[in-house]
Amino acid sequence: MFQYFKIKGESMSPSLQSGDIVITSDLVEINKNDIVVLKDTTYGTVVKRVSSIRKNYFKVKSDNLKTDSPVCSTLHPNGNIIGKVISIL
Amino acid sequence: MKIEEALAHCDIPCKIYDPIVIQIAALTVVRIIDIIEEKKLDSSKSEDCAELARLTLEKENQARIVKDETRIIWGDYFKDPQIEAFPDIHSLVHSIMLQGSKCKQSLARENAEKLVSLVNEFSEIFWKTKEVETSRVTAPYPPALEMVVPNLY
Repeated sequence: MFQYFKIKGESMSPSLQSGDIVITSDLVEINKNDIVVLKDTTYGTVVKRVSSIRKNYFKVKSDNLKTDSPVCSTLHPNGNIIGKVISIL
Repeated sequence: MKIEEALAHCDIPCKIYDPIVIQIAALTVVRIIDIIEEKKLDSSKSEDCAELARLTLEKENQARIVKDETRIIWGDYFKDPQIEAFPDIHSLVHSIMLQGSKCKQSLARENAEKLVSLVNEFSEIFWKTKEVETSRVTAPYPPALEMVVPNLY
């Protein structure tokens, strides 16, 4: 399935800017360094880059090193991935 | 068509991290050791005994601040990107923990000087992750040891 999302915030700069529209797909394999949209139980729908993948969990990071996000501190269940960003409009 | 937002938000809860608190606490440990040495307190006199207890308590408190504040920056600020860029940060933080404990346990000035040195290393790495250049300057107050300051101008 393909979905559209509008980016809000600067933590993925310079890869993604606030206001960008991206298309995600849940039909492709997720690998380390892919940008994904995920569902975080506390912060809702979030876009980040995959920093590591384990059997059932994954971690994410921001591209903008000057930022700090608690989303990057926790392990996320693989089922929380909504999709991989495959295109920026 | 309504498009859902994907948050690339950050900086929760406050974004305010600065190792200066750690540096001042480490310098204070050295300063208190110097004061204890300079005063030549006589533990047989109750007044001196009280002052020695007060100074010792404060030395331990400042060493604890070094450990607490270092742990906060390491635990809350350093994330995968910063750790990947500076993989030695874990061992450095562990060294600060051990050295902070040594300073609590003794009055040896060299232990406190080593703590200042480790904290300076930590501060330099912190500012590098922010892409801020630093300088090593002599602290403008006792014990006038070297400290790291960000070049913010």
